[in-house]
Amino acid sequence: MRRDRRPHALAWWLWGVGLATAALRTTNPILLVGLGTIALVVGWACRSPAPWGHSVGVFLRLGLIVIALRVLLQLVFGERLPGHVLFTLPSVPLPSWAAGVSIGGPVTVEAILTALVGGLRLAVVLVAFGTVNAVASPRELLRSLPAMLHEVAVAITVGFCFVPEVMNAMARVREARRLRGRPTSGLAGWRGTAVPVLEDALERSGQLAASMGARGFGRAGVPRAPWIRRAGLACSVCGVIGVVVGTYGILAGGRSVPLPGVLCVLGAVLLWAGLAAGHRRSTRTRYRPQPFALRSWVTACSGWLPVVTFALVTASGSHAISWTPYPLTWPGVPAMALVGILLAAAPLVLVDQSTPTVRRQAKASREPVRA
Amino acid sequence: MIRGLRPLVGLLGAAAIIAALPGAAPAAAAASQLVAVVIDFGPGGPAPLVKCVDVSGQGQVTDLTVVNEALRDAGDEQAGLCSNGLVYSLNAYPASGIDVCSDSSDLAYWAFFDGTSSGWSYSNSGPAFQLATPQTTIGWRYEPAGGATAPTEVADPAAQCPVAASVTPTTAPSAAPIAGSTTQTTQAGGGVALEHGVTTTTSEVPTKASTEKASAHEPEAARPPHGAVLAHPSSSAGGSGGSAVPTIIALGSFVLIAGGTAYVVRRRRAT
Repeated sequence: MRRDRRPHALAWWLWGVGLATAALRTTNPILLVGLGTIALVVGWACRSPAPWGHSVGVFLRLGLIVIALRVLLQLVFGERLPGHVLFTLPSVPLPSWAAGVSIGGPVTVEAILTALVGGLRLAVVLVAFGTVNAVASPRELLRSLPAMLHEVAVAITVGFCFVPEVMNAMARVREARRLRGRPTSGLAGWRGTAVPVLEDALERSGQLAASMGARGFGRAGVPRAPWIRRAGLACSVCGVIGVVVGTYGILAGGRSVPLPGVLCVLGAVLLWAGLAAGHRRSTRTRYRPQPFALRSWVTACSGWLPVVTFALVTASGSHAISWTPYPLTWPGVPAMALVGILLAAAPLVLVDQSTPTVRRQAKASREPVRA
Repeated sequence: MIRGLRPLVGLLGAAAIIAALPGAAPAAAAASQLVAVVIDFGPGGPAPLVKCVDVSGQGQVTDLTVVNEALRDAGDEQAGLCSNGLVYSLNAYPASGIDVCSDSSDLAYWAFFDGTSSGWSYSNSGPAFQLATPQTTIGWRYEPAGGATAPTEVADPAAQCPVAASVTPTTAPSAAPIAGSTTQTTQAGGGVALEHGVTTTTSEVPTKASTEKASAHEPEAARPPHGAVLAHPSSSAGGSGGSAVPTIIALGSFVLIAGGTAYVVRRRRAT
């Protein structure tokens, strides 16, 4: 019973992808701030007691760096569109063929706002990713992968476990440096930490994948008839193309791809059929399978509410989802979009965030987790 | 309202100061300092919009500033720019507005032309990077399917702003240059105050509306200028745009949900 206290790991990933998609669909700073706040709050309240539960903070810092970098680049090299000049940086004249790029010059409120919003979109995507990594256990996700994906399990494992392993590796390397009396913070700390952390995390992800291989993931099963395998291969290639093009259509918006949602679903179905037909049949049992219960469904769906409400607002003829500082006006906040964003916080109510056991576990699981 | 609160800075502010100096603007309204702005709304759009903007005494202003001035004179706030600097709407046309910015597949755009007495030439740089030159024409044409057809209007600035040929600066001092954002008090022959809106959509195109054309080709000197003086105290369109209330409500709700969660979770974890 204890197991369905938390939503399924897959549900968390769906929730996070929904938030990130919403962030990429809007340029309205208020809506972006809302999405970021929801992601942060959920990540903080529902985070896992394991070491990767701290990934929200790391990704938040990364997001802030992105915003700062974006603003800095805009200040120094940005386009100099007319606007309300705040101050003027000393400038270097460039030849006429370099129009569109500048070095120094007048800095306008509009330019800074443009850079802030651009940075904020990336930051929200990063924070959503950090939140997912903090709340969802990568092992749970791997365990619940369909059997047909076991053949590509190594790649998937490395992909999904990389961030959690980075968190683990960072804790280990910093601890080691502290013990040796080396700096752990600031630039000097980063210089000594970055390379070992990356190396360690990749290596451990690989190790996990290898150990999964040793336990039977990716084991060659009974081969299928060649024509089935070939048909399956064709199906999955078409499916991947469909999913990629459909996703691009959803993110790019407008009329770039006709019916991107339908294309995406069709591609996913084809991909599933292809993989199901193509994989070598092997029988495995599942140890204590985690149900994808009501809690998980609500979590997964709530993450896509912002995207849906944004689309509804746009369909109703309002332009409030997009915003530019030219002319400089307050962004409108459509009530429906606001409700959609707030409802994306549904996991807060669903997930039991607390219990002292969590804290005890947190202490206990500080040690490196092995597969 | 951000517009009401912020101090006047930059070019427009400087322009306002120059305009506010008594007598400076009208005296300097020499005929040679006019820039014509032609906005052709393309196939299926309304009749072209022609404006003459006086840039005298402005120092260096960009074409975009001039265009914005013309648009304000026509009742729009300013050219709508996407975050990447592309122009998505002029005079609130097309109605799809800002959505074009996020649609990478849409080929529709505003083509930008430089016009002189010898005709139109497609401009190789944007209006924000080009200084306004008196006695030239700034041309726009909406292209719903890409392409670069020149505006149907005549490119010759002297034809678009006949004031250049006919009007001598009036001696009557302007009483209220600051209030002159919508009425032009000085340049019209005989010192008649003109509502700018009357003269915006004349048709120079031979193929269009021949009745209008007939009236437009009456004695050139009698034709009123489509005028705007580049001297805006502050945006007259300050009333448009959103208000701060939704922003405050939205941010408040985010703070509320974050604070509430923090409180509840902390209490639960403490017990």
